[in-house]
Amino acid sequence: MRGIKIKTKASRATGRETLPVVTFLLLLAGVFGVLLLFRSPAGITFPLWAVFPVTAGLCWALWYSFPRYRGLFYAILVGSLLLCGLFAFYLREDLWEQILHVRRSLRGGTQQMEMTLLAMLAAVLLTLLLFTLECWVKCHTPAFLLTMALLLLSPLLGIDADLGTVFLLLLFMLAFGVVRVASKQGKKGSLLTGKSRLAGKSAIAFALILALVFLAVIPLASHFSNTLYDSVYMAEDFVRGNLRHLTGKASKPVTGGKISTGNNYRFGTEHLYLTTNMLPTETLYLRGFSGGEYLGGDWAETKDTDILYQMGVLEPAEDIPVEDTWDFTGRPIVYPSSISLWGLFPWMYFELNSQLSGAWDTVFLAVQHCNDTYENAYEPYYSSRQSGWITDGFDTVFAADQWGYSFLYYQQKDMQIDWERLTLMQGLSVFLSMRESFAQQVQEVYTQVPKELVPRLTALAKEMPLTDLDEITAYILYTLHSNTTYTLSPGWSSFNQDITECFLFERGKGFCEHYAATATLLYRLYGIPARYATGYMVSPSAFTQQADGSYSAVVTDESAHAWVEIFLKDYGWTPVEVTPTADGYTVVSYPGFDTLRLHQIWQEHGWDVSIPSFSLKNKKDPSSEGQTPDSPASVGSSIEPGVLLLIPLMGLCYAVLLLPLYAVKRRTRRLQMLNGWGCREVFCQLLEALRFGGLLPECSGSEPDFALQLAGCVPAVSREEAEALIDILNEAAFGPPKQDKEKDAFVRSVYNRAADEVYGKLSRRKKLIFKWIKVFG
Amino acid sequence: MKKTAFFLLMLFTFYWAGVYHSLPLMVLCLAELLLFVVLLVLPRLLRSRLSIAFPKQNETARAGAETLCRVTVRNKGKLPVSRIRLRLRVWYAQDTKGVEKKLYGGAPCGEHVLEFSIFPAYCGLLQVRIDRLRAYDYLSLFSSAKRCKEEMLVAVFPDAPALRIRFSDFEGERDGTAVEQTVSHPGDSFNEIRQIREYRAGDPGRHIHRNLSARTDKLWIKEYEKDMNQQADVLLDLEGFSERTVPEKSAFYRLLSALVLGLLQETPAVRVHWGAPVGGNRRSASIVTEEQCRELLLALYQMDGAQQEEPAAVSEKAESLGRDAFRLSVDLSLFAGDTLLHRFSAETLEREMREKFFTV
Repeated sequence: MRGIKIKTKASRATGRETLPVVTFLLLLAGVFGVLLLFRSPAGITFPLWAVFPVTAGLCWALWYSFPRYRGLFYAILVGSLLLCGLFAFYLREDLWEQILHVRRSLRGGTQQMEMTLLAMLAAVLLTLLLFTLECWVKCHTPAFLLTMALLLLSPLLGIDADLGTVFLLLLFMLAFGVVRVASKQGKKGSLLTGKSRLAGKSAIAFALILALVFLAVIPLASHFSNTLYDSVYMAEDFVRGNLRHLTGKASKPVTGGKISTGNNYRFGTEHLYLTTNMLPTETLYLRGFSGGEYLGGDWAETKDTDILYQMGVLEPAEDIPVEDTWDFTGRPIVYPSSISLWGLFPWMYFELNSQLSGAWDTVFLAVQHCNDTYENAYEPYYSSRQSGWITDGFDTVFAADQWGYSFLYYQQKDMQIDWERLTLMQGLSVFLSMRESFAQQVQEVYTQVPKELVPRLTALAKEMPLTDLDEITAYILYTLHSNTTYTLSPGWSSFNQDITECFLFERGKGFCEHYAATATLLYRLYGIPARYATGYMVSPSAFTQQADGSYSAVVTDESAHAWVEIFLKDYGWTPVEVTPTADGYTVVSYPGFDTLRLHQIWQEHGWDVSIPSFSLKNKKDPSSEGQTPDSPASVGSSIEPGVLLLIPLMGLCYAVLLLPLYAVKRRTRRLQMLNGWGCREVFCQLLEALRFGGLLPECSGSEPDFALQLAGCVPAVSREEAEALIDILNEAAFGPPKQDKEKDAFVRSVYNRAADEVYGKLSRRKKLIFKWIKVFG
Repeated sequence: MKKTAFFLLMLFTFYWAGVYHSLPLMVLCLAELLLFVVLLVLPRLLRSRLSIAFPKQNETARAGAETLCRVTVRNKGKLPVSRIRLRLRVWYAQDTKGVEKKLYGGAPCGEHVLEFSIFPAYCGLLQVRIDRLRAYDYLSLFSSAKRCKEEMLVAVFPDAPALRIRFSDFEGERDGTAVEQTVSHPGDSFNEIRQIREYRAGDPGRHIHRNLSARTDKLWIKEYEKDMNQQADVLLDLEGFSERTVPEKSAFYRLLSALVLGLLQETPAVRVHWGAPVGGNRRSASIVTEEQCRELLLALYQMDGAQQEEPAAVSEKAESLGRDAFRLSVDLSLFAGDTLLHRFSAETLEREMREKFFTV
């Protein structure tokens, strides 16, 4: 090519490339970071004071032997693997138990177990793996990806990595990248000699920059964390909204008992059209789903008829279709057999109220689904569904070609059934016994909680035994509102934790689904029959008057809501609002209980909702700490006592490990300096060495018979050489200022012989000082 | 690619930290982001502290042989630079096209030397230039370049053997392999016998000491003191030299070098004449040693045919030098006086120079 070829010069360094000290430190950072991450789950613990020094020792041995004694390196490598294999074989049962425990911990188990053996094996294998990848194979990418994957998987697994761990892993990931970049020059271009030194220095400079950067962003991230989370939420909301609109799922009414483990996304899509004959004065709860059995993050659907079937008062086979009636899906409506009064039970409270309370303010409600798909119905409380499309007086609600369904319902303030009067009325008193029977059944069915799924909630309820419904409600609201914050973007939760416990004890943030689910479980734990309900919550302000005198409201997905419904014997299922408003206010009411009463109870018990009732993150499973669930001591922070001791201990360990390196480096540097000195400096050093060895202690070097004395005490130096030495020194001191390398070398050779002579006469302790501290030779 | 991967990773970390509300991951992400910015700025800072220089501005080389070149990289900053890239351009003078190569290296604090080798195939003046210095950040994500104009001249001399020329008084003497022309030549006259030695192959027959050879039954040769005033003249015909390609020029330089070195084996000095622009001065150089031969070549490299002369001027000069002068033209024709000794070919020049034997 144009008659010119250019070739780059490869490194002239001969022999094996040395590994800079920084690679050892970075390896330690990587291994320790992973071990600390492994130790983060609640149930996993191992003694750091035992595992870290072993790891550091192995790491040092590999790092030291690899460039110097390759045979020893292989021996360490194979020996470590063999030892691991032997330990694993002989202690396989313990090891298997510990592995199973790790699996349990990663699935949310919180029972603690010390797993020193597993941690040791993991540490050794991890050290070997990382060393092989980074220093032997010199391939950083797999280690980088492995570390990054561990960090990114940690929130998914519920591992709460601390900032120190993150820094160690980040340092390992990036600084080793710097070492690789600085060491790779030889493949592409010309290369300086001593590339390992450049790599080490570059990595140190980068580590300092990284540390500064990391320290700078910690306050930023802490202060603006919510803003940052919200920005992600908004972006995700935008993307999801567009996707749902594109796929046509946006207008689908909400349904189901699945509790969201992520954020709540609202797009303002219209779901329902409501029409009423009068303006409602209370918030309208339209229930589309009632949750019965709690399945851990999900609720099984339940209906009152299911209870009636269980009671045996109704048989599904007895259901008969009623002619000329059909439901909103176009199918014939199936009513229970008319031979049983239980068939009327679902609307019993509405019917009794209409007959016994004298209240005439029934509200007619017509519901239409915007997307014209009627897979589910949304019904108000204290209601009775109307069987046909057209109701007297409201025949204009639905046009002939429109779908929809309607209800008559009472607002809560109009529910005033006089049950005492009912006892006096013949024919209707049977409803009393029905109420009692149903209440008993409900008490049994809707107070069931799978306690193994929610151990911390169970413990919380046991810590505060209460029996009065109002006090229970007040305590639940106090617990929820003092420890959590309402937000539509609480973030995703890990897959291995119960969402209600994660909401209350870990994140402290959530929205209606989390509040309602947690409150439902707590109600049930206190023995109050409760169900998780979802549907729509429509405020009276949403209704606007139409030209024909009716009121209508457009319900969007922003009105989708979840709440608790508790069973009150005199009212049936009653909604209880446990979710605070966006401003943090608590608005709750059910018959006999309102916000005023709530605050009164809070005051009586000294429950200040502005102060968290327990410290988040430290609300551990009581069983894991060996404490009884009733013990209030389970709530609160705890500091591991060994940690404070560990820091200086670890520092000492590393100092001991690094001390030989430092001593070798210092000695080498001092000897190099000695080689560069002139004859006069070398002579001063000679005098000092002689005095240290106890030879010529009083001599200053200027005595006329110094040459004789020197030759006398150091047989390796002849008298002629000693005299020549004095002549050279005199010439250097009083002659012209010029350096004679040969004479300097002669003086150094005399010094070296004298130093060897002195060294041979010293005690063992003094030899150490002579060689490593004074560095005389 | 690496930059994009780092950015995507950062973006994903941000998303992941956001959806899981993980403060450690958010710190990690922000640290990555800030580091991204720092690494973006860092190369500019590092670059401003870097400088390069060639320790030797002029260098000599032999055609076809490796030449080691050194670049001094000076880092005046406090931070080491783990990676730098130098854009190196090498080309022959008067030839616009050259070779470009990117050299990678590092720059610790202080002054260090990078080395590279050049293998020039042709003779001539080689220009080596580093026109761009690029500094990278520690992860090699970003870089910043600055222009520089560090230049070095490498004079590439031929490594050709001396042309085998023998001055002979025997007309018609033949070498088995070579064409031979016989002309009278300076150096034919001898003053005084310095010594008598045994005959060696190639010795001129006229120097045989016949009487002694007859007496001893051995061939003896009379060695004479050379006449120091004697010299060979070589006239260079540089017509159309500047239009020639680099290989052709290189072949000319090689032949000239071989000719001069060959003549120096026979005569104490060689005088080379060249260049005579119309109205200008003709130049000549007296060559006695190999070093002077190189100086002559260097002078020719620097002129690179700039002082080519008119054909008429060459003829005029040839006439003035007489019939004994050698003449070498750019088409590799070698004349002795008006006689064409041989027309060399650029492709087979090496072989021809090795095999040909001229007796003049």
